[in-house]
Amino acid sequence: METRRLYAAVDDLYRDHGRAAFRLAYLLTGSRAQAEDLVQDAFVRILARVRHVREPETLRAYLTQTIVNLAKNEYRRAGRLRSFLSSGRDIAPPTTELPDLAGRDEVHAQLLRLPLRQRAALVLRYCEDRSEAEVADALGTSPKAVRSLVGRGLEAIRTRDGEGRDG
Amino acid sequence: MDDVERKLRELGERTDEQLRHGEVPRAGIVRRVRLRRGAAAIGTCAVVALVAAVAIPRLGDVRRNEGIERTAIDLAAVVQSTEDAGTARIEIEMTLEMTGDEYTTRGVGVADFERLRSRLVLEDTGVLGRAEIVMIGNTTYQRELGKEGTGAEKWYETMMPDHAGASAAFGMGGDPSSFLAYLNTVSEEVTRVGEDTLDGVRTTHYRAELQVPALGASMAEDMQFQLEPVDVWVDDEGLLRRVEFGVSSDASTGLGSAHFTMRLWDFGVPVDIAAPPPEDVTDEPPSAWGGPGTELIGDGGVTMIMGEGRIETPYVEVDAKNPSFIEACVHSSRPVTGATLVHEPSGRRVFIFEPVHSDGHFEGPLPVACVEEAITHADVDALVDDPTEFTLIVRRKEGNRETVRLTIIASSLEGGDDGE
Repeated sequence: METRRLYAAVDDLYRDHGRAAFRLAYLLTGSRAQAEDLVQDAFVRILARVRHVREPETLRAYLTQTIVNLAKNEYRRAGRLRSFLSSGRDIAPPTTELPDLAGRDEVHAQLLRLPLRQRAALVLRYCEDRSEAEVADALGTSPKAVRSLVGRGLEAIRTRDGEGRDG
Repeated sequence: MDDVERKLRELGERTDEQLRHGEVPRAGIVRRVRLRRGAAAIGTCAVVALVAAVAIPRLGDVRRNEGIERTAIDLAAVVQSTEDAGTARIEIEMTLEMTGDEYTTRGVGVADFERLRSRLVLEDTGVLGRAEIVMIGNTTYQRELGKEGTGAEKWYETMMPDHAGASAAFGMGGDPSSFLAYLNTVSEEVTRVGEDTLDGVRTTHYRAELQVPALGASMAEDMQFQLEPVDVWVDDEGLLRRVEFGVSSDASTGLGSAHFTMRLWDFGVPVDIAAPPPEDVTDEPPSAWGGPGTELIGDGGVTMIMGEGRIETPYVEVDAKNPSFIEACVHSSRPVTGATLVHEPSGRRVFIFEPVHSDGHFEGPLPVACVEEAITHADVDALVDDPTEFTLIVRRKEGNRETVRLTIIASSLEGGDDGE
């Protein structure tokens, strides 16, 4: 039965890509708890729509898109916090108390300061080694826009790196 | 290769390594239901959603066992007939029970199975009040409704339902119009319970046992709840009139239980379900739902490793509109028995939290411990007017204490762009 095949495909997706989905969500949100929720919600959404999926091969791409979209939702809801951070107040990250931790997660912390779409573009392009076309697909935009997002994201991190070294 | 690009690639590899060695928990399908008492917001009840997704078994052959008559009925055909009807009026009721508290949401409206859209008015037993919801594909539009039924000016648009009831009832990621799709899957035994007349319509009542493994072994492993039998009522024309199902979990999981009912009638009724005009749509959540008026205190989203334990995403959230309640959620991989919020400069203990859950701790990979304390308006003012460093001292069952440094933030709500 068609639906049964699709449910099996979702189960395969979970088994084969569940961890990768969690990694993506974790890189995007910086929080295990949020990442768990995101992945959970993503699979629930996929199950909800499984009957309308035409080709199971597209499930993986749909999973990526869904996680990015859900992360974007979370990001918008956290807008209050973001506006505070961008107002220039100095919040000492707790991680600096543990030198090894700071070194380990520094680039992740920098990623988390970026606007969501730049962040997603960098995570997909470099952390996950996706092609420009795949990133464009995941973000629902054009490869050209992806290049722009990637460029701006990298620039933002380099700038902050420069400030850090001088400061 | 650029230095930053290399670091990003390494981050990806590192995270992957952590996952392989179990340092970062693997994705679980059902982990928790987050509940904020007093703030009138119920987190996504993915538990119910998953039940809906697991779907209701389809009857197979006629069986006779222990004198219980089983009737062959093809639920897939019932679903098809119901969907073929195109539209219907629907009523839903969703009850969530968690840590002794019960929340019920009711919704009435219409569903369009063909175009996959729904429109409902939801009502909550919480402070949430009434809301109108329109679900079209991936997008949900919702707005508060006054007592007279007059709507708020703006519709809040989101990709998934934020409203407690909507989220809880349709956390499946879909809406009632696509819910029927779940009533198709693996054949299992369905029992004919009897006949009931619902609103003047003669129906046959069937009960089916859900089988979680229908989803596959991988997902079944992460299940921490039990599925109750599903009840369906089918009329003489083979149309689905009523569905009931629920989930329950062991007390130790803290997941609570949920029950869901959907009623359908007036099949084929003309419906008008459309997205509100763009100028009426905003992406700022309404105040009652944790939007403006809610002060976010603390810096969530930070993972810290202190001592032997791991404390993640500590945050303290207060609903300024209804500040009778403050919640500190500490996601910890080890048991937490309580927490104290200390004002650093003065050493004053601001709040002392005791665990919400009776046994005081959670075992295993469940990384949730929520503690709460009643506060007053004055407390809220003190916290938000003067952003200062606070420390959250988290107590462990073994008597160890770990310190989490929080920065108290008081910010006004400003929408931000996402860098485009």
